[in-house]
Amino acid sequence: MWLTIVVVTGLPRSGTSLMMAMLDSGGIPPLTDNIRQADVDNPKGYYEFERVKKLPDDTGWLPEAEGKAVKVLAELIVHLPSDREYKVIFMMRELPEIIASQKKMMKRRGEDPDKVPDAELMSLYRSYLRNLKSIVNRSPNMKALYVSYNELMADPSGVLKELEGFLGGWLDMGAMKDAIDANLYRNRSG
Amino acid sequence: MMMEMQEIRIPKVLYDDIKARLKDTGFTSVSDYASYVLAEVISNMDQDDKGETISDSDQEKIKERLRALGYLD
Repeated sequence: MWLTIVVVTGLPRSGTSLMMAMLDSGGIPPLTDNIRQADVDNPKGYYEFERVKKLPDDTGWLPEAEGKAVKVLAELIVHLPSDREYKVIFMMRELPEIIASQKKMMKRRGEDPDKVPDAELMSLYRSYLRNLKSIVNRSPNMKALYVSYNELMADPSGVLKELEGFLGGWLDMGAMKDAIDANLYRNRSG
Repeated sequence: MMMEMQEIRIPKVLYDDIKARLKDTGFTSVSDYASYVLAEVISNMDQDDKGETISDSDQEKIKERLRALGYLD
């Protein structure tokens, strides 16, 4: 029985929902409660599991995650209990694209998207990600694959090959590729 | 004083790739350019290993943004 917990992580708007959809299509079911419904920002759904947000206080859901993929915000990944092993897919995306996409989402939610200037936020995120990557790389119970969303959208074949190597050769790679919807790549830099 | 050098072997196809890139780099030899690239990669890896300290106020700015986006309670 395949009991590994696949953790999909990254900053909001880095492609974590897309990766969850790909894994779902490929044969790894998502742990999701569908509480956060699909909307204009994520037309295919968020693939979230609300109890994850209660980390580190609530870890009782982890047995449910065995053999599944679960989306864990980068901020919370450090709170995953160290007595389990995780395969971590860390989504990376060009920061200007992430920030642009987040700003649109914040506007729709009635939040002020310019509270932190873009340049400052970029620098903050850079340090933040470097720190999180360092923590993940040093965690003996985490094996990580860093996936570039931009590369995935430009030419998925290389990323799919890496995913196949990372997760095992039994996944339906064709279905995973079909789950990539280039029409949803709406915030491009450059 | 001259720096002590060591030879390494790389596939010819990689050597040719590096050589093809030389003209826009300011480097005149494959060895110098390959040394520079490797040093950069190792430096980045060292930085990744060390991580970075984030101040509490910066951490709070990020958390506030994640809450505003609906990803944190």
